[in-house]
Amino acid sequence: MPTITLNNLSVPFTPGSSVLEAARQNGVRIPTLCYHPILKSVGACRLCVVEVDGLRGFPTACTTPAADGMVVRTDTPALRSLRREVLSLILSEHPYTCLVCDRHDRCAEWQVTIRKAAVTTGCENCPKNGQCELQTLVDEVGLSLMPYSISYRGLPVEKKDPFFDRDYNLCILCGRCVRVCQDVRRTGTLAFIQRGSQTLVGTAFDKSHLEVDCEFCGSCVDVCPTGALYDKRSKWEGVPETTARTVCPYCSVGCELDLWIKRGKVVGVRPAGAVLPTGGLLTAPGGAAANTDGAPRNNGMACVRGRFGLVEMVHAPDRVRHPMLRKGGRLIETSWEDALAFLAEKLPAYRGESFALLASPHLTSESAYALQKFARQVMGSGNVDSPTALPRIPRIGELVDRLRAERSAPLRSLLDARSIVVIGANPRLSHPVAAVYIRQAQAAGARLIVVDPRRSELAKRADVWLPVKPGADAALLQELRQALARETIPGEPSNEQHALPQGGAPQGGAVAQAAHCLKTASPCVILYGSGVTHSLAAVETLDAIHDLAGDLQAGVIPLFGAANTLGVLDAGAVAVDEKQNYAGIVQGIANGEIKALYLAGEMPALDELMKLELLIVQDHFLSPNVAEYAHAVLPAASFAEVSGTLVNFEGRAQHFAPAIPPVGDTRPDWWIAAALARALGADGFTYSSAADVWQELDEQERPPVGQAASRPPSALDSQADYPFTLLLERNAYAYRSSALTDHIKGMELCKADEESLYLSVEDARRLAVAEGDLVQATSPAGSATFLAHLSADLPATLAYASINPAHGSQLFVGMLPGSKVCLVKIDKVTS
Amino acid sequence: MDNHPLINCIAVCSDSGCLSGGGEAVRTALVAALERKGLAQQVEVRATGCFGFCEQGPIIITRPDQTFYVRVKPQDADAIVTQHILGGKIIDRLLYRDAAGVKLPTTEGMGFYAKQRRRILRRVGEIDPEQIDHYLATDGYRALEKALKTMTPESVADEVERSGLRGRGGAGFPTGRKWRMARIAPSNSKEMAGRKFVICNADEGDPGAFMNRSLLEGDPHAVLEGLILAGYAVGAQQGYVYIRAEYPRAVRKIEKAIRQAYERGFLGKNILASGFDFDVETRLGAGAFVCGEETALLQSIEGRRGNPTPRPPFPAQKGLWGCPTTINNVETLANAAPIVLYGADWLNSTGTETSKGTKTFALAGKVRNTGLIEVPLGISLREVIYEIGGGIQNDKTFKLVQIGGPSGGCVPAEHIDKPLDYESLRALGAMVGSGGLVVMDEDNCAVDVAHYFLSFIQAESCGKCPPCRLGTLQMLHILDRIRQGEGEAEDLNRLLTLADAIQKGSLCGLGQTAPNPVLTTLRYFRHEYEAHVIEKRCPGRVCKSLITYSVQSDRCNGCTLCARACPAEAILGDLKQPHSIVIEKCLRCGACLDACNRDAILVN
Repeated sequence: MPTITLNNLSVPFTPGSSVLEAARQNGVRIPTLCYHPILKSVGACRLCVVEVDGLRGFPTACTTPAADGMVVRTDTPALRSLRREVLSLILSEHPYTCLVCDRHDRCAEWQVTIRKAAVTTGCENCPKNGQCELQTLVDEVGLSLMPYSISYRGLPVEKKDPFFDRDYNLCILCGRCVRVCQDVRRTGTLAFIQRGSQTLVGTAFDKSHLEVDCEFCGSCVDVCPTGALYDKRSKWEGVPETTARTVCPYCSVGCELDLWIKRGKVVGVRPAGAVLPTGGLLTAPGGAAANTDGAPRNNGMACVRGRFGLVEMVHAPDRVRHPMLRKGGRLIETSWEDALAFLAEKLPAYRGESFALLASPHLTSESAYALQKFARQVMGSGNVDSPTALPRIPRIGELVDRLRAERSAPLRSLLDARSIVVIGANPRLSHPVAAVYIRQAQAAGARLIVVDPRRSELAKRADVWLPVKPGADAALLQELRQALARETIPGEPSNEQHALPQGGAPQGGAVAQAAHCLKTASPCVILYGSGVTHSLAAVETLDAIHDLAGDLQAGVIPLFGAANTLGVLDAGAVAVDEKQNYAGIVQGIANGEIKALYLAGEMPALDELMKLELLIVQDHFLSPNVAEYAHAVLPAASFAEVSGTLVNFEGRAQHFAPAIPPVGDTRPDWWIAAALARALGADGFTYSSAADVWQELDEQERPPVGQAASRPPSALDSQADYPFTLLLERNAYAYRSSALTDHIKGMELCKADEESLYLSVEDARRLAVAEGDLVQATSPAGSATFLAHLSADLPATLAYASINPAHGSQLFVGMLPGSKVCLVKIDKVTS
Repeated sequence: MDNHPLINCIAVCSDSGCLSGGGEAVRTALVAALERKGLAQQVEVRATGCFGFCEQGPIIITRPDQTFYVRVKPQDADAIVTQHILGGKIIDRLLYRDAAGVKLPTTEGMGFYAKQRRRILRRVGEIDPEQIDHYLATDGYRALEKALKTMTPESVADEVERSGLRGRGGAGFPTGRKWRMARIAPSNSKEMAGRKFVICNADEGDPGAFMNRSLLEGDPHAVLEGLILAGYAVGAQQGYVYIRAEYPRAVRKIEKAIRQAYERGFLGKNILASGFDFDVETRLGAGAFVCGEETALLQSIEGRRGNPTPRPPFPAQKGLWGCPTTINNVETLANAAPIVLYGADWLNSTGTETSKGTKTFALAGKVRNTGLIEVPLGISLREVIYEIGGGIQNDKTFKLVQIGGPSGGCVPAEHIDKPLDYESLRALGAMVGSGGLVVMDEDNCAVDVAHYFLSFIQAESCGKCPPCRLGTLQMLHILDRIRQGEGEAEDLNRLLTLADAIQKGSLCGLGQTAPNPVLTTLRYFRHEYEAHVIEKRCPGRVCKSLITYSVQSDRCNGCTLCARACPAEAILGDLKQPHSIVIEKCLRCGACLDACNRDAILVN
């Protein structure tokens, strides 16, 4: 190991380290401000200056590579004085009175002023008080006298955008937010604007964050060392009492998050690894430790849902907090004893096939397991399904087999990929952190090939877009394989011409171009999403993907929509029998065979619900659709209040512990299922914790799969009555049976597209539909009304809409076997 | 010889300087006058680059007789054609008169030209810069031919190193060594392995400096040939000319030159059948001074905000897109071709021991003759100011000369005999820089001068690092206080402390040199600072808060000119009676001073 001499002490360092990193590896503290471990060092703040023998002047430790035998001094009188000068200059633009006040430790008890009309004049009325890096720096550098008067910028605090406020009067221009936005997230929302002493952080043309397509990932807030950027929700919560590491429950990436806890409530969320430890705070994960296998896979990142959508979900005022029973036509709050007694009395009448359970793929594995065990063993019914986890296709058994056998490549393998193929996925919305890795790989030179029927946002950023007819992915992939076989050895010029595809170029050109890309750029990683798993031809497409992956020796990453799709598959909560799956259950309800339905985080939103004799709803929120028909409502504890396991798309079982006590009278889903079972006198449900359930689940034989007879998929040819193929994007803001956009302030701005239907310009002209008109889409199962938008990114007879199951669009797709694509006719609504 | 480009024409300076004085109208008037006389075919009116003596513009030179007409107006065109061209008679009234009142028909004997050595500028003002044939007829692209056919890339770099050529953009780094560093640096970036780049830095931004612009406007192929030679020596495949968008004419000329070079096979694939491929494109700067700094320039070309980045890595190791890159100033590159063609001695034979060759300067300020000059390095400031510059206007006393742009420094009268070269200027606290020379006299205030240059630097700081962004701001605040008579003794020490922190703590050269104007004025004119701070007096009578205007009644004849000029109605007095100024109303604008023709206004 190479060695470096730090302040007369020779110490080893990891090769490739900067002088700063070498110093930190050896416990030598050098003050820093613009440095952040997840960002490229730029040497902007000039606080980490050091003296290096043989180098002129005062180089910055963060940007100077450590070299074997280098002689470095980090703490000389000259350096101390230079740092004091630089820090006092930095503070000249930041309200510093409290920072350099020798009595600031005793201030809180005497402090009497309140905030002065949005002007932060000192630390006591700054949201970052106690967590501010400047506060620790001033002590570290030893600054007690300021030679300059404060130059307050006098800028208005920007509060118009959702989720976080920006007070650039507190900004010290370290540039971390700009770097995380440009270099890490690769969204490029933030930049430096102006120059000289007018320099500020801002957006293009000074537009709002909403206007410049900010993803509101919150990374800028996470890395901000001062109070310049701060969450609206937790702005005045102050320093958390403790933190708890947990796993984000919203999608299958499984980002690790630190929940900030105060007074038994979640007051804030930070992605693991994003926030620097300051002042002895946040040094170690509190509460629960999730993973011990190295750095968090999200590497300090989250997305708008996890970063800003957890606190309000957990503590939403409209959350169901107590069990409710229908009495006299109204749902009345009651105790668990009464609720369980009521159900113990009612449920025995529906033992057997008149009972059905629909469980959400967002449930923990433990809960899904306990619930399906309750349905199968206690109620004696095989009518168990998780309808949003997978489509209702004839070959579902084979699909489940394949998905469970899927060995995903690690998410981080994207960073080493030289080519990436994305099939049927829109990760920017569905899996934003995975999308960041794709953008980072692209920035490092990886080629991107996107297979999508429409020219999606991702397709526009791709090197090659392969338009595909819905359902014809397998054929296209086979074509790609054949083109690959024709490709010459990498590096040698090919005989074929690879002209760039023009608008509407023949597919052969694009396929050949993609093949050339793939042949010359390995390793390759293939990602697929719900466009594959939720298509009628899912099995065929999956086989084709694996054939292609085999040819390319590529890794495969399945982007499951829900947080725990693999977990509920393993727990046996997905039906493989056609009669017992969602479609069969809905039919059973319609024809009266199924009389009792247990909804655990699912909401079918069917008119037939009124026919049920017993409807049990178990969730966080009560949606109006089911509130009307529910006989019993059981309040489920959220992920923050339970322990459990989520299996991410890599197949990694991520255990997490409760961060706070259950809100109100809520209980874990598994606990409710077990309590019901015991109330019905069943044995084998004496779990004292989620760990007990996990142990039993882990020892379990995997449920049998692949029993249903194979049958060729019905082709999705346009029928005369339904001339349009409608692509349906399941809205990423759906969680269990609710829509985050309904419960989280600011999130509603993210659903702008929800009621929109995109039509090709050609179709719109034929239907005499103009931008903004209302159109009705009608399928064999039902209809829904949308706002029409004209799109140049769609071919004729293809339409596109984003739907949120919680908002009832399933009214017309619910009965269809595949929920990603359906045949519709489209009519202009004339009032 | 009749079609030799250097004879039989009327050369009209068409550099931006003379154009702004009406040069274009003069040119069209001459063309029209020749047409009227049926001489359009016989006499060419040639739009050339700058003759240098901008003070006297618009200037034309008739060839072959080299008659030098100054301050020509469009209405002079007919006289020039009938009297000079047809009649062979020199027009007396258009000739330059020297300080002694002697009329000089040619540059012969003109003080402005006597001490100059126009070597880099040898084609500027002679050829039509838009005609590659003019360039070719004057040894153009012969250096490239020689290099590609008879020299290895190493020997090209060797020749340049032997010549002693140092960077003309500011720091004075040996050019040959710079080329060699990029040549031997491995190019192993992930995406662009094997690629190297050379860049011509034409982001001339110093206030008052225009040498590079004049060179690009007057002889663009010379710069381009130098860039191609640099590309050959370094082993680059691509060159860029990074030029500020505020130079539209220079942009047009270099772009035209690039097109012509492609047409004649001096650029592109397999240049002159040598197997050497080289492409050149222009990249326009968007108006940021800091983009003249090498690393900021690279950021700008890559499409990012032009913020400097720390070194190491140096551009020669990891420059543009991570590839070894050489960045040379316009004038540096213009030196390359003659060095290669005529040998290292071409440069070596002039200059001093460590500063070889000539250097162009933009001579401005309170000298009689202002303009673009080229002098051998090592010439004394006295020669530049008193011989080339013709001395101080109105016989005032020379006080200081600001050299090297905003990052440079002020050299006082006591050092007027010091040679103009890299080392001497550095020892004085200034620098050769890109070559701005602003001469100031007794009416200038040292504090005000420091304030002017520092406020430029402050406004142009990229804002990335606090010492430069905020340190210069605090210095500016202090200078403001001093200028307003609110300075305290402690302020001078505060300035020195700040300057020290800025020099040591700044990331890039712009920041590290930012305090120079203050440091040099403090060094040589501390007494002026002290006069401001302690006596509350501005010796240069410039700082408004510290001066008062009054009327000397014995001189005033009551003509009312001053009262009418005063925007504040602060001057009272009846016709033909001595006037007086109401101090409370006076804005210290100096309008009365300009208006009075009896020197009756006194500034205290």
